[in-house]
Amino acid sequence: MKLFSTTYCVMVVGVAAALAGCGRPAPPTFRLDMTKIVANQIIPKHQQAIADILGAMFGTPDEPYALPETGLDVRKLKMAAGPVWSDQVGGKHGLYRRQCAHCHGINGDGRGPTAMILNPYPRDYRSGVFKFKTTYNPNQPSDDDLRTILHNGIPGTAMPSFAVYPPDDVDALQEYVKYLSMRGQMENSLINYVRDELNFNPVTGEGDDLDPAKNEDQRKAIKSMLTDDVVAGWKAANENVIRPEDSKLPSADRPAKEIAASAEKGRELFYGTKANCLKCHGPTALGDGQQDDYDNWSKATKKFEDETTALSASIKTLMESMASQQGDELEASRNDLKAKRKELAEREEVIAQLLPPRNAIPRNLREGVFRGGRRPWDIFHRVNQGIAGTPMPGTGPASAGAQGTLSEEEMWNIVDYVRSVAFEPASRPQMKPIEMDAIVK
Amino acid sequence: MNRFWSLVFLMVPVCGVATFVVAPYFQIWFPHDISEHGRVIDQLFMFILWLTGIIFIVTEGALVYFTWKYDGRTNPEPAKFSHGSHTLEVVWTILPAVTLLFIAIYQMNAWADAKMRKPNVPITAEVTGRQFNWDVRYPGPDGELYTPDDIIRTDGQVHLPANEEVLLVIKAADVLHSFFLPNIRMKQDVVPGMEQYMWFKARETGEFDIVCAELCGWGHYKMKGRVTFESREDFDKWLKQKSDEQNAMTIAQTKAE
Amino acid sequence: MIVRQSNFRVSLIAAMSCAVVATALFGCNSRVSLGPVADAHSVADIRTAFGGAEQAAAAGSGGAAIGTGWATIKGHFVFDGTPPKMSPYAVTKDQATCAPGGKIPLQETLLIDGSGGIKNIAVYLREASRVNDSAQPKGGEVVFDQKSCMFLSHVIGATVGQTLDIKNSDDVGHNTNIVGKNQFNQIIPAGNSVPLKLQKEEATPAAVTCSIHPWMSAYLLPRANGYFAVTAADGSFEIQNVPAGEKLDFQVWHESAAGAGGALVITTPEAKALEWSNKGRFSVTLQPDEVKEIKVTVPASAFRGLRG
Repeated sequence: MKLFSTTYCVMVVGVAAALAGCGRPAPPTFRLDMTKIVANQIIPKHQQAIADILGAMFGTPDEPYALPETGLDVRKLKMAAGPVWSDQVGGKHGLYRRQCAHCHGINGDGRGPTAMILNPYPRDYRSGVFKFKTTYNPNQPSDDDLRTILHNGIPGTAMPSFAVYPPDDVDALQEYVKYLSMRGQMENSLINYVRDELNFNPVTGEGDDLDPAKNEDQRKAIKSMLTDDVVAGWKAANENVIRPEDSKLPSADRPAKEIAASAEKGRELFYGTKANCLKCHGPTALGDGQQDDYDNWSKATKKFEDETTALSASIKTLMESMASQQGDELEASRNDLKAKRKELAEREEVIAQLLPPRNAIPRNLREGVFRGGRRPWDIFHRVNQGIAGTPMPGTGPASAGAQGTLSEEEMWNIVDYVRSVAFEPASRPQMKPIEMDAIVK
Repeated sequence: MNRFWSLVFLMVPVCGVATFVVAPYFQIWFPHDISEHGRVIDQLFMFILWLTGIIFIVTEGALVYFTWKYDGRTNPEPAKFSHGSHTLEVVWTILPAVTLLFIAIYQMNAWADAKMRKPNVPITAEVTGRQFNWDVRYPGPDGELYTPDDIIRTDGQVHLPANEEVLLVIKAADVLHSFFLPNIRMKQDVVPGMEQYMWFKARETGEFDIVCAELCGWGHYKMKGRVTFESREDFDKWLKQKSDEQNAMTIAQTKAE
Repeated sequence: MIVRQSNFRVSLIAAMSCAVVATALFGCNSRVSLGPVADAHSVADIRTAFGGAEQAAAAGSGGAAIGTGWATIKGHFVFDGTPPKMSPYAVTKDQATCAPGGKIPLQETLLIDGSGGIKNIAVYLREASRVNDSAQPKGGEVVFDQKSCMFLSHVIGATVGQTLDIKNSDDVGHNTNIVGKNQFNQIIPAGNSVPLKLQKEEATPAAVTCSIHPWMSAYLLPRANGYFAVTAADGSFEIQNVPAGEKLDFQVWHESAAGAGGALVITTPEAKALEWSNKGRFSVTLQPDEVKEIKVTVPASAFRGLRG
């Protein structure tokens, strides 16, 4: 009986502790982009202030909030936010966490638990850059663009279609994506603001106060950052949608011969030095040209990693030079070494959480899978404006009224060729043998 | 307390049978069958269910009866063990073997119809599973896949003609998937690099679920889709509409509200 | 009964130590690298402040004195240490054009001339209370050329509203990919040019690359006014007609500088006299019509990966 009682007590308490842990699991919280924080050596005091300001402007994953300036619909945000549950009539709640968070992450940073095993990685919304859209390259996507992606998914990637879900749900998700994007952009602006405008010392951790509740200048500056840097782009997006010129538009019911003639012209452009498509998409359009560049997201990670490597190299050289130093000089070097080591430790901790950078591989056009859609309309926008955030350049004007590289007619020719290339024999010679040599070399 | 364990064992057949009896009332029985072939599958299922069900009840009944009757506290007489009854061993080997053999032969035709006797009809569509979506490719007017007039849909909504034999090619782009049409009683595993076929004839029009029945992996549950069976006329109309949409040079843009 | 009591106590201790170990192993661990979480009280305060109507102009704002007249600042950046050797670019394609005569051009991440002058340091006035006519943003064009798969201006400054004439003097196509607020990525055909009107100011130079030839690298600094300079090969710069009689805050940037975001941080005594900050900024106050000349010696340790 004695033994029984001891075992019993241990078991009960042990099971209770295991079940409860440290109380109920804490609700998920928004976190900061530590890559930028550490790269700019933002001190903990300012980190806290940035988190507080973002909390004030955007709320929490359970309780989203939006200032009226953002134009976001809080009702939709609340539909998409919060924990996953179903009400008695079967209404679904916590849509973002149900459908999106495991890839795109609570912060919308594209680093959800399953992100690592996906290729391509899920999109990090926080820079406000989206690839497949009908607006000018630097502009944010229009509402229709986001809706199209949610409706069709992205073929060739892990992004599924949400067409079978109720339209209200999809609308709510679209709004929430915009919200996460704005929050991320605001965070970036705040970090830049701290870096550029406030004085602080990363070694001692001391610095100016950042408190928009008390300091009116800061409040004004932050509000204008929100309206000018963040919201303006999203508000202008729907006005920056590119509409092809009607007069240049090929008719939908062209005879096959006409399409073939247009594709032939597009072919010449594709392999020529004016449009230069072959440089990346390769001499047979298999996507086997320039393959060692990165997209903006991987580039940022790579830059952070390279800087970290350089930092650890400079620690090594500093230690070597310390061998011959004495007195005050040695003391200064010691302090320097301490600061550098601290930064290195922080950087390495952050790198452990980042997704390893991957090369941006040009599309194999012969597969006939087009991520942004395969309609002539979709491909036209890719050819016209390139793909934002990636190495893919545009050939059209960079903004309304600017000068493009190709005329719209030429772009439509390329569209026709790209649509037909999957059905062209790969053995068809692309160009004169001499030029081929130059490429192969 | 004397016959506690025999009562506990009694709960197994009682609960087991009760589950099957009440299941239809809680909507956890078969989904509505709309295929020509599904009746055979359902009948096979019911036959095997009854067969195994009866054997289950009989064996459980025997178990309960013996544990009740020969409860250790009311039977002071020690148990006797017998060993090496040749007749008994032959009986309990042959009976199940014959039963299993019977089931194996009895279902052969159903299996052949579902998986082996591919009908000689043109391919209606190609379904490709990818992490984590079903993409569909229709051959278009020329009836051939992988030609410029193919119609490709990635929105998880498959349209198919009802009241005629439908032949699907099922493929996987990346990992194992399992294309499952519960209302058609058809399920097909797919392996990347292999082409599987699925054929059936729907008797009804309407919208039904598509799911991925692949168990392992984190995202297959998300591969929700809808299949719409419609008359040949509506199906052709829909194909034409999607083909036009795919080749349209302009897209109507809705203004943000 | 007493025995039972002590038993219970023993088991309680055992259970508690078990729970403590379990907690230590599994629960309650927080990682520093995740960063802070918003504090509810501060959030409420700030939100109220954002929601509230702007108070009447606070007293004492804009207190910085504004002077009169104009002055000129000149300078010279000299490298102190062993100049690093530039390695050749990783030219992987279009050899005939990009490595003419089989000679691969060298990188330009840190260029030191014979006298120790440091090229391509950007010096710019952070905020101008007033702008002289000569430094007002002008229209017109700035040529930004590329030849032999190199950007001919490695660091280029321009004012907002100016048009960057992006030229391609090669016989192969390039695409010019500018990140940042003036995001741009367009094909520049061989022997052709594309104009880009700069729309927004940047606080630090934005990277310019070519995706077709990923080794190509340059930096673009668009500013709202003409108070910026990029050092020449001998390390010299000059900014004319800056506001006199007030404290001017200059940002100093170099692509290989060790400071955050490319800030050139110098801790020498002569830099201390210029109030050089850990953000790579120095401050001067100039008299009207003064021509101030500064000489800055930059130790090797101010650059990433170099021996101090």
